[in-house]
Order: sequence, then C-alpha cells, then structure tokens
Amino acid sequence: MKRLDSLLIVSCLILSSALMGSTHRVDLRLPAKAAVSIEEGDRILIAPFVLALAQSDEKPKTVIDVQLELTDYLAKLLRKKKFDIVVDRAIVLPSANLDRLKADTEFWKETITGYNAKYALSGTVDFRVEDRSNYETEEFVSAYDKRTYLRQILVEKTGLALEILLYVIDAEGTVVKELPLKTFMDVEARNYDQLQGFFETIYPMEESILNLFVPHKAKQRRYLFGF
Amino acid sequence: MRRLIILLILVGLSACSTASSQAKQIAGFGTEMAKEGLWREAEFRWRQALELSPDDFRLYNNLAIAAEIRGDYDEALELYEKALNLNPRDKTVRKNYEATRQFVDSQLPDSE
Repeated sequence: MKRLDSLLIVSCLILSSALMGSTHRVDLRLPAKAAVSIEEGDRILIAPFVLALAQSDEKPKTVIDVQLELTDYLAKLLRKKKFDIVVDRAIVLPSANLDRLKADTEFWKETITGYNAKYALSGTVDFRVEDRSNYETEEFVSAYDKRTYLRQILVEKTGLALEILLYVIDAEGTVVKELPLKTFMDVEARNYDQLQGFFETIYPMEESILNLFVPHKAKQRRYLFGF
Repeated sequence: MRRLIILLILVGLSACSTASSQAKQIAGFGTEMAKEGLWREAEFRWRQALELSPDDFRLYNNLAIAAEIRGDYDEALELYEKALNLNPRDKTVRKNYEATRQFVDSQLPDSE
C-alpha cells in the first residue's frame, strides 16, 4: 500500500511539473562593454610584436613580413573604429622574453607616455606555413575486373597556423588584458599564397580584437519558461 | 479513499502553483513573442501576466532575460533573485542567474 502511495505521489509530481510548463533555450546577443575603458579619438600605440620564430633556431619558412602585416592590419582595423592610431615598428623592445616584456612596466610607461597614448598593443606573433602534402590511401574499383583495390594518391595541402598573444598595456605600463588567439587552416593546394593565407587566418580573430576596444554583442545562452 | 485525498491535495497544490489560466495564456503569448525575437512585446505581456499572478517565479525569470536584452544587468540580477526567492530550488533560474552573474563579472575592466 505504501508503495502505491509513493507511486501516486511521484505521478502527481510529474503531473505538476508538466503543468508548470516547458523551458526553451534562447541564444542571445547581449550588449557588452569593451574590455578596456577607451573612447573614440583616444590614442593607441601599436608597438612591435615579438616574432616567435626569431626566438628559435628554426629557419623561417614565411616570405611575408609578419611584423609589418600584423601591425598594419591592427592599425587599419582600429582606425575604422575612430581611434587615433600610432604605429612605431622601430621601438626596441626591452626583451624577447614575454614574461620580462610584460613585467617591464617602466619601459611601457615611458614609451606610452612619450606617445601621449592611452594604451599600447604588443605581444607575440607566430605565423607558420607548412607543406602538408602527403599520400593518402583511397579505394577504387578496377574497370578491368570490377574488384575494389586500394591505391595511394598525393594530396597537396598547405597548413597555415597563426598564433598571436596580444597584450593591451595601459599608460601605467601594466598589461591590463591578454588575448591569446589561434587559427589553423588547411588549404587544398601546395605553395598557397602566404599573404592571402595570413589574412585568411587573421580574419576570424577580428571580432575578438575589436571586442577589446568597442562595445559589442556577446553570445549568451539562457532558458525561458513556456506556460 | 486515502489515495484519493492525496491525489486531490497534490493536484490542488499543482493548480495553485501555476498562474491563473488568463495569466498563463498571456505569459505563454509572451514566450512565443520572445522566441520570435519580439522582446519588447514579450516583456509587456509578462508584466501583464505578473499583475495577475505576482508569485510566479517563471515570469521573473523571463523578465530578467528581457532586461538582459536591454542591457540592464542590474535589473536582470534583481529579477533572477526574486525568482530564486520564490523558488530557490529551480535549476533553470539558477543556471540563468549564474550565467548572468558570470557575464556581468566578465564585463568589469581588469584595471579597476
């Protein structure tokens, strides 16, 4: 009898929860502030970036000037948002070691103040172009005997990898925001144009970079009640 | 007989816990509007429903989401808290509340 009562209670609870209605997932784009406090017209200094390859013994395989392309790209992107952008690739960074670079607040304070800027952008960049062509096995049906065989075919591919660690440094010389960005893509061609590849890999990062400086819409998920 | 009494009590409680049928209809319409992206209309309907059913935690939850859409996160958090006061065990409200709290915290500038 007790068991029956329990079953009844459970059934009623299920019934009552059904009466309470269902939930609906909603994907929202909510208004979000810029990650740093900045206004249109404020000056941002784009300082050089540490090239990851320059730190290693590996011979660079890239033929494009990554430093030039990246700093130019950042300048164009941020100018569109009405910031006053100053690019100085001639600044000599105090260290290629990121921890030391980040910790050198005096250097940054002096540099940023010297340009009368509100923030500086620096960090590290690594752009790699790899020949990923290789032999792959595929099945084919012989026209001669209609049997299925395996054969090796050469698949020509180029692997493009772009990694950026972006530092936003304030006028006090403190790194106030660190943004790690990474894109990887394979393209079905050998000797793919590197400059085109650089822009194709940096393009997906654009929104994240802009979100540092401009109000934007952030993707969020919530659950609504139905009735 | 005992089973019948238990059943009647629980169904009665369930009926009490839901909004009145009119409030339910209005609130349901609000949710449909929200699903279509018409959040202002949805918010208006949920507020109407709230007048008829002021203790319905689900309305506070939905109104909190509408407040988020407007970018009024303080109001959204207050509304989620009201919903949780009315039904502290509801996992949906808690999930929304925690996501909003996390989002709001992520909006604070690092330098301050």
